[in-house]
Amino acid sequence: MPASSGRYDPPAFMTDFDDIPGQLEAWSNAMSGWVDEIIAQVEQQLAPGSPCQFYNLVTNPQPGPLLEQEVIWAAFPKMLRVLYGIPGAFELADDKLYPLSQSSDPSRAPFYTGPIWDTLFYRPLDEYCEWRVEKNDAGKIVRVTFTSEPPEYWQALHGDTLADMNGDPKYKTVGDPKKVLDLYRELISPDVTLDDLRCPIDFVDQTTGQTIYFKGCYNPYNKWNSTHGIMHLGQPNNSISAEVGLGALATVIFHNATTAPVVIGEALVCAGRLGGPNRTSDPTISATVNDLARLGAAITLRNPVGLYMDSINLTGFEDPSGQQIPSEFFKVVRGDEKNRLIERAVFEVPKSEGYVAGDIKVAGVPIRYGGQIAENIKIKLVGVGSSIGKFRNSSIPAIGQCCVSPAQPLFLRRPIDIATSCDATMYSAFAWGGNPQGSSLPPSRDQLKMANARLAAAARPRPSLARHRMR
Amino acid sequence: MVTTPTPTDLLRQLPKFNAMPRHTGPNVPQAPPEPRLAIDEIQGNVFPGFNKPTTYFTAFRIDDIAGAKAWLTLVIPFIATVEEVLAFRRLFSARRKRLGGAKPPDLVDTNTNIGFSFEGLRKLAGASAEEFQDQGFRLGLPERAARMGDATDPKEWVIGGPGNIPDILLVTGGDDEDILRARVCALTEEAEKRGVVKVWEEVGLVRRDLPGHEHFGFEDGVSQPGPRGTLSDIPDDYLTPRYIDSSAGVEALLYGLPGQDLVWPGEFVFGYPAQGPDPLVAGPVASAGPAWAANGTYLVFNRLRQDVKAFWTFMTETAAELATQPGFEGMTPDKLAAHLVGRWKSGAPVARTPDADEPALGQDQYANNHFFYGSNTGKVPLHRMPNYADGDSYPDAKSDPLGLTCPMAAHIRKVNTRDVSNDQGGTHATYALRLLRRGMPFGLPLEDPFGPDPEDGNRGLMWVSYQSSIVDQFEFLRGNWMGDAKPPRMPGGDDMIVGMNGHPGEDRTRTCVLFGSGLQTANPTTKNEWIFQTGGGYFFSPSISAMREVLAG
Repeated sequence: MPASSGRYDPPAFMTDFDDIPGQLEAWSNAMSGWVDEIIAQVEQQLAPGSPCQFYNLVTNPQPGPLLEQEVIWAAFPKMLRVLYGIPGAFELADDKLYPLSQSSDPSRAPFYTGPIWDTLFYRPLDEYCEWRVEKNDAGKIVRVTFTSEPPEYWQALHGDTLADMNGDPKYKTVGDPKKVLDLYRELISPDVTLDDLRCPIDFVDQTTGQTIYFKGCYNPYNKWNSTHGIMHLGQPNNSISAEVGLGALATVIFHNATTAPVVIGEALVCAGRLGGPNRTSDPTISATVNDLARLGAAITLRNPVGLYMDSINLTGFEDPSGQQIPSEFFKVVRGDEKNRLIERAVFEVPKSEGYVAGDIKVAGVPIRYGGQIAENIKIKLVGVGSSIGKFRNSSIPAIGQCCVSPAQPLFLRRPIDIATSCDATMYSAFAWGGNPQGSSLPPSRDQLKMANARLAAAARPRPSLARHRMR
Repeated sequence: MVTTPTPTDLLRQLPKFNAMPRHTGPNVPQAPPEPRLAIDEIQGNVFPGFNKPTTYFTAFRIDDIAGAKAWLTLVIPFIATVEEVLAFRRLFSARRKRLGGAKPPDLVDTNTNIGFSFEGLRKLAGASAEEFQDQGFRLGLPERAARMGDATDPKEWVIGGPGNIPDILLVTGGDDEDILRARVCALTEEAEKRGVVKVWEEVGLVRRDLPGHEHFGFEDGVSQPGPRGTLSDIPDDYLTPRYIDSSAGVEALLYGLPGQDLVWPGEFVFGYPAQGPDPLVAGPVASAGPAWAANGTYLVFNRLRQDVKAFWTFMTETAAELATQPGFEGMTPDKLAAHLVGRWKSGAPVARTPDADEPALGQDQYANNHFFYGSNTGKVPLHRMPNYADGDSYPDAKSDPLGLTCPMAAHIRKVNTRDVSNDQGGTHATYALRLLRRGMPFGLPLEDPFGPDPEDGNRGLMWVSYQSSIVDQFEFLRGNWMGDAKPPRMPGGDDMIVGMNGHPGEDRTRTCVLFGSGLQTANPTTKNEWIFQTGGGYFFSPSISAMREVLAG
């Protein structure tokens, strides 16, 4: 992996920008701008006198040996598994598209409001990997296409002005719409037109009055990236700016009821309001970065910053004769396979083999869902730590908490402000502080009452299935 | 005013009778209420485990269903429950204490437990067996083995391969070999009279030379989870004793012994709350499918042959090579093996003593599991431990999130991420992926790994684990964490000890990342495997009443 080139390179060093004059610089400017914006935000959060441990790789490179920390997580959304179990989660992950006016997370508000958002769709796949399943006439899976490409890359390739961390247009790019069209025609369908890919009107969020996408700009929710195909990430939380934001915000050390820092991944997401506590991604990204922060390291994301498929575990994927399938059935289409910076891949059996993906068995079970493949894919980002011990930042009080309903005991609701209270029927998780050492005993007995209630429910002859986990 | 003493008060006054129900730790008002376990229903090898020096594994095929039911009726009274096994343990401990620490030679017991394969349940329970949900259990180990990286041919297994899957597995452990053998013979004889045919039998033996160690030479089973749950009406008569003083804060509520995670019992037995995201709050109640599965659990059995010579040949050759590299000077076979296991032979954790074994630490149950990876580990006060007044005086573990001290690929880090996050998110998986391991060695030890082998390599481990999900616990750990170089956390590598790399195109090569003293990296690599599956199976261990009313009824 090359050292810093003095700029932020495109994800996976993809080459689509290379022959567009000024485009590489524009991308680097946007990346650098997002990093600087989030550093400013972190500085607002930190205790007085505590400098931000997250740094800009381009404008403020750190000396000394760098320790790379790959952070990996499972591609299949844990939240769906928690809410719907298996196979319910598999079915929903493959088949369900949500309008942008609706959240797939029952504990959060819709992303946007207004009639236009009812007509624009996203997949409920929030682990920075999304996929689309194609089946033959017999209903068997023939192809599953996976992507981890951020939407901002495609907006930039189209030449749009990228939004800042507040959603306002700020970072100009050059772009080449023809390239966008050519790639769509090559990878999705020859029928794609530029008009299909552009916003026909301003897409305005009626709640805030903010224009999210302007007329004539690239529409990330175009039909070829939602109902009719897949080109890049579309779930609104799956963006490269969100990755940068989480990486930086997770360098803040929080404490709860005591001065002991919050270290448990889920508790940290709740305490710092760092995204989705039920995800495989956010808790492990946050906690891994925070581990380095507590060691006093300077921290950043490795260039090129991106979200990547790292690898797939095809162990035990067997063809109809019981033979292990070759790794070539998972074909990398975009990104850097050698360095495991995979942006787009297709799982498909070559026609010459005489069978289809749906005939493959995983541990004796035929592939019926794309999720059976996705749960074997690892997604990653790469953090960098250096100058361990340089920082001695104080922790700050937690700003958030997660509530849990006994009706959904595995589901941590999205973090809310620490100053507000959980609904009377819920309890606040990790009230003991989220650090197995040095935390005080739980400050209240509320959660114990909840637990008691649940145990009493368990003793009833026919308890509600919602409280049960079928294993 | 005179108040009548409660039974609790009386028991508090009689601490020397510790063979009776007793308080097992500090009474902490903030402790979460834990479920009362049906100790007369759950089989005793699940909780607390037989812990016997000799165990017979006997497999049967049911040829006559009515005969099998009659035999089961006869066997049920011999199935040891939690209550019985625990009572014996407590009695043994009490007697031992009075003998000044010597084992009471004449206090012996023999325990039998039983499990049924899916086919076995179909024969005995009929249609209700179809309600079992666990896909691994339904399909059976031979169908699932390849997913876990196993390259052996199940048809070659001594037991459990295609056409050789037993309906019943009996596990019988005992202190006295004559009594034990007589029990096993009697149960087998009665079985065969009734059309229940013995198809395989083998003996597991605790190493007489190194009790508690497996054949590579390492102390085994050091880090067992502590199931939550109470045994009697005494509020803090916990199944898993609590040793941490309440002055430690929440640590007293999260751990039994220092570092021993307290896990909600639904992770191991059906009908109880499993783990939720907050470890102090009960999660959903675990259900297998049929209502009669309550107080039952899945038993995973694997017969794993260990190639001791190949193991130590690799350690010897690789250590010699590493010792020539900057940052790895002084590397020895024992040290390399310890870093790949995560513990030294004695059981002492590398996280606490990275450079040399510390046998006293390895044997100290109050210290050998007390370490975190994400933060420096501090001392923890113990509850009323007069003999441990000075506390844990061994070196403390330092924060090691990157695996610079204890490699991320070390076996104990691959299977338990403790306080740090992993590819499944935060630390929920730390609890929800734990198993209760009850394995024991088979075959005689090879004292000199490079000397003659009178056993011709026939030694290994009879792996037995209990869990409430074969798919989400045992198979996940073996196939996804041990069997994949990337998870649970990077910079990792393969679990060199137990992992099997079945990835297509990788030629079964296993490798991992080790850090040297100056952050240099090394990648010990091998294609040789040291562990081979030679048999096994998935079983369900029902409650006493389920056997009586459903299976034998």
